[in-house]
Amino acid sequence: MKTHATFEEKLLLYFYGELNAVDMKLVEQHLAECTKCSGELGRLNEMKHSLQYMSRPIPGSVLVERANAKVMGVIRQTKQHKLKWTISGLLDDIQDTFTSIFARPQYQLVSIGVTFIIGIFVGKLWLSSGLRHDPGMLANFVNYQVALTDTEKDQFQKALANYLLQSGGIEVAELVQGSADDDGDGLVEVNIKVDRDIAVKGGLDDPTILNMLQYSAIHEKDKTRRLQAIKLLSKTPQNPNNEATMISVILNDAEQKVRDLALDALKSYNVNTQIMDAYKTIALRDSSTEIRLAAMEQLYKNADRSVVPILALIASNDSDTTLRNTAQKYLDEIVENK
Amino acid sequence: MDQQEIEIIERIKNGDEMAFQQIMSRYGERVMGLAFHFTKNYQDAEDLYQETFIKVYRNIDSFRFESEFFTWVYRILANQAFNYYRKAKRMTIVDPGENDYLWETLPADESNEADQATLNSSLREEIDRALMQLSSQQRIVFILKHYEGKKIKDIASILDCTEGTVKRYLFRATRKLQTILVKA
Repeated sequence: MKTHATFEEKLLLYFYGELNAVDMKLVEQHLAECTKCSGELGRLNEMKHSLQYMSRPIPGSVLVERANAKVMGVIRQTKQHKLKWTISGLLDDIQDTFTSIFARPQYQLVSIGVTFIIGIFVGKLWLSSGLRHDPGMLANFVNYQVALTDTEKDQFQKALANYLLQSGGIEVAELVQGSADDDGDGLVEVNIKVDRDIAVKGGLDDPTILNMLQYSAIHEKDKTRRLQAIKLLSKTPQNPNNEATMISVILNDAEQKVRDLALDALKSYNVNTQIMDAYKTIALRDSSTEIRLAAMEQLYKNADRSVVPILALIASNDSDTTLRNTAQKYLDEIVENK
Repeated sequence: MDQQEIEIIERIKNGDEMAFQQIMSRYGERVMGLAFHFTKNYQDAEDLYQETFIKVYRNIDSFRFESEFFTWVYRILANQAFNYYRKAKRMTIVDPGENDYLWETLPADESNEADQATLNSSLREEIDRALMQLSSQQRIVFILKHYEGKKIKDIASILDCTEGTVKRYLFRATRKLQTILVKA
């Protein structure tokens, strides 16, 4: 006797009346002996019975005639525009060909395969196209213009360390085995020291270069380099990052010369609230009289209501006579002009 | 294929619109009925019907009398149904709409009692829902087999695939529907 597995397909074919006489007899013999298969056939018949209850909507002749009339209407209409008919037919055929390739049962696996191969090809093309070296994309990372998660930052640092390891000039400065090793895989922190000089080249419109100049202007220890960075930045157009950099330098840099240069850069910018606030702060508290005078001059030139109390405060309370007199002069002129 | 049908088709190929109307009258009800089974929606069935016959007319020159004419029409209808499923993404069972009076709903078993209509209605919904759970391929194969009574060989010819493929879809559809309907 054959197994159930052998009969599984045959049983369905038997159910659908698709077996030849010999196979049919075999299945019937098996069914007589096998309760499992006869039970299965019973369930199939039960399903068939359920489906028979389904009423079948029959389209009325009016509906068919109406649909036929519509079909004829379309045919006649499009025949009048033969070119349009031909082109639309061609487009339809092309669409159907593609659709059938992707939708027809026998081609589905093939189409999946083809899609996969095309995907690989496109991917390879992308990798070889240099897009991954897109400076804009890298600049986004370097400039933190995209919000990086901690994991991404970690990966970026590892990628950089790997790059430096390959190009040399790197040494391990400190190696610490961490105590907070939750998963027992040995938490290790390797602090690295990079001896290698890395040059980044680019124009003043390069976001990476700009970002580095902005960083240098604020954080560089060497005064000359800070000055150089500010000088270069002042050649670039006004933008919020440059403004913020100059303001930061004016408010925080210890060197008067550096602050002076930043103030010169700021003077060339169109004033806005942030810049005016910076002028006010400098006018009130900078350690250099020259810078305070320059800031007051800017306040006077761009005077609005908010400037008056600042100048009045300096005119009345400042210990420096020059500053008091200048502030009073500006105040008088502002009042007079109004 | 009978000689009369061959002559009609030849006339269509020569641009005879009357002959085409004859063909539509001959097969219209069957195509419309099947279109409804595919779409479960009167309006979509009508659209599918029209698209099918427009395509039949446009491609009549490519019919080489290598198969039954109606098998060829079925093939076009099945292709249009694939397109329909692709566009619709799912089989919608919606309000039949304003044209439902143009359809007559005949009970499958005329010996049923009057209150059988209510039961039929809920069963029909049950079956429609079950059919919705089939893939488009399984659905088309199942409908052609179950409602049209086509042989597996013919379905393979209509769908232009192997009998093995048809069997696989039919068996999967049957198993799925059996699980849903018999349990229900």
